[in-house]
Amino acid sequence: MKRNRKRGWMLALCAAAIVPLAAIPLGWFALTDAAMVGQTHTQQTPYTSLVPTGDDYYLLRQLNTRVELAWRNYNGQMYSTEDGVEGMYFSGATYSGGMTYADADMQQYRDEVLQTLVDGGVLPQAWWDQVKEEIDYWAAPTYYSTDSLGFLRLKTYVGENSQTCLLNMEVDSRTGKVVALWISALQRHEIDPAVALPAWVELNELDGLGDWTVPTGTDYEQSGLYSENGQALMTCATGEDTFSSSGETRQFLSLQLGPYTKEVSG
Amino acid sequence: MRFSEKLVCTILLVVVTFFALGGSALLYGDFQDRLSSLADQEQNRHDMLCYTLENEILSLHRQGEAVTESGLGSFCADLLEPAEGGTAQLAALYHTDRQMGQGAVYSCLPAVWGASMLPGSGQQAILRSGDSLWRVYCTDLLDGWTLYSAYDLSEAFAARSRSLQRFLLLEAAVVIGAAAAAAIFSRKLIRPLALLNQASRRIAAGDYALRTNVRTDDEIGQLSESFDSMAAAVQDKVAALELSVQQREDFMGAFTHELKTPMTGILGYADLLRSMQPDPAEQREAAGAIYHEAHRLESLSGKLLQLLHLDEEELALGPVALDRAVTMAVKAARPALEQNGHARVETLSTGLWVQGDTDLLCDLVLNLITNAAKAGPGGTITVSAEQAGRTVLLRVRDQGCGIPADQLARVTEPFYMVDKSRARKQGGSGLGLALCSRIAQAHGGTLTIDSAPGKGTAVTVTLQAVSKPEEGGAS
Repeated sequence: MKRNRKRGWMLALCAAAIVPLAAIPLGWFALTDAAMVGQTHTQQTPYTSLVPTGDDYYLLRQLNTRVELAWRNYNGQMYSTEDGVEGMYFSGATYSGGMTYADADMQQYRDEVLQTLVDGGVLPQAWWDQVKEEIDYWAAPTYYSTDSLGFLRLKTYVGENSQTCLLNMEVDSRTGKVVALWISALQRHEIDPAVALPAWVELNELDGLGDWTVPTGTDYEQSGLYSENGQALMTCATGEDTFSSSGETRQFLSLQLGPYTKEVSG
Repeated sequence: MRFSEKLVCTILLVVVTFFALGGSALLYGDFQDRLSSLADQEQNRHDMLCYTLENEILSLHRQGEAVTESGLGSFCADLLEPAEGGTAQLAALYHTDRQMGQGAVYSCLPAVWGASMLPGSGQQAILRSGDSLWRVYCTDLLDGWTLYSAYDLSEAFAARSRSLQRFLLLEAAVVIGAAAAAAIFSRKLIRPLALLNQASRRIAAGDYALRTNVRTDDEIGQLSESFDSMAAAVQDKVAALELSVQQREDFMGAFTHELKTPMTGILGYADLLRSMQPDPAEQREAAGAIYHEAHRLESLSGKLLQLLHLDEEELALGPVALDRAVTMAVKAARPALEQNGHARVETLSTGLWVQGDTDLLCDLVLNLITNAAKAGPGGTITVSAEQAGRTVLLRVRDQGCGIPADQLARVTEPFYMVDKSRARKQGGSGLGLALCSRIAQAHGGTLTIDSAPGKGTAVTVTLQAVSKPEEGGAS
């Protein structure tokens, strides 16, 4: 009896051992699943982002085209169909006599664009306040012209027939992005290119180029940002205004965006 | 637990363990291959999404249009609209400026996936949402956008579950099959052992002639062979014991009878002398009879003592000159020879030396000569010896009545007499040949009898030959 009971126990034990052994695959996958879920791994072939060029950005493409067409105009090659640039370029007038007098709406547009620069951290408020004060003080007239690529030039002088230009700004009329700004004021105010230029890049939505860096070893090391992908240069400079015919000593602030090839120009 | 059951259990445990481990490895390998293959497809789809979005962003830049969150969100929604019958896909688009918790430009990822669970750029992770599992990919795009895309792995896991179910069914079938095969195999393997067990029980019960006769070319066959040898040895031993017991019983019976016979005569004649007044002739006859029977009893007791002495003590043997022992025996046998019709003894001088005890060899030859004299009164008894290699053959031959062939085997038994009445008349005790046989054995030799009724008997004793020792060493 006792022997049979022991035998029964042993057989039951054997059966009880077989069941978990047979279920090894279930345990195996439960463990591997638990180890797999939630764990991060590096992708085998990570996606490589597209590398944009200047031509991928409307603003830079327009600037490049302007330079190209202006160069062709200079060389008398006004038409071309080989490289996709074709047509005739007419630059807008750069002196008040050839420009159109800006009405109140245009002046308001000018102020709005400049305020955008201030709000975007590009133009220091002090500079704008001082210029705005002089414009209001002198009731300075504003003139504008547009070239055949749609660049709008706005110039504000101290008075009619005056050679003292308070503000010279170029704006892409389609996007409203500023590509050049020149301000003349009685006092110089601080502007940090390391802050102003990245803010301008972002405001002009050119940060997608992704490689804006200080052009070390060039004349623009302290005042420029260069994008090799976009072949473009942004500069920010201040100094004494030697261009104005005013008897007073004036200061200027200059922001420039344009095509630039480091190897050639630098 | 029976041995066969132990065997079956062990085989099953081993089979199940290795089958389960092997199957797990196989299924796991297949599953990993499938996941890897899916990962390639998913990576391609994710890359395509990334490319399409970046292309859209650059396209907007080219056109000089603002890349707005709402515009890109709408583009994503159109792009990720699930195709009919296509693989389920989830995605989310975030901008770097926005925190994950603040919402995405576009997202159809499950809310349970917190920012901490999602992989970083260039990474992937498998995440659970309800009952389904998704593989999530993350890549940083142009302009600070981050794209997450997730692909449903439910089908891969479901396929694995189906494979696992099939494997478990197969495993169950294998276990059942292995159990049946192991049971049959172990039963066949155990069968000889069961036979051995059964045979040992029957042999223990007294069936000593039983043999297993398992003829297999393995350890069990060898065990069976050894068992059969052991059974044969046991049978022989039992037979020997039985024979010994029988001989002892016969000995006791014969001994009692041989004691009783002379005592009856002695008592009868003593009673005659005590209760009657016999004449002198009758008195002499009665006294002679009493003397004869008493002498026979003394002879009987002497030989019995000699036999017992031989059984109990180890002999110290040495070189013995066989001629000397024979001469002593012939001299001692003279009264018996005269009593039996003046039988004549011829002895051949051999000069042989044997390893033995002089007195015992003398007794041996004396007994053989006496027996020979009793067998053929008046005849010639020849005592000879010859050397054959390292053995000396001592032979005593008579020309007496001989011994029937069916009794030859028993004449060396104690108290066995071929013709009891004649033997007793001649003063025989039935111990002579038994004593001779025992002396021969004590010398490491044998005693053989060749006899033919009416023609005589030749008794041959084998002794160990030795070379003649140097002077002073002989006994």
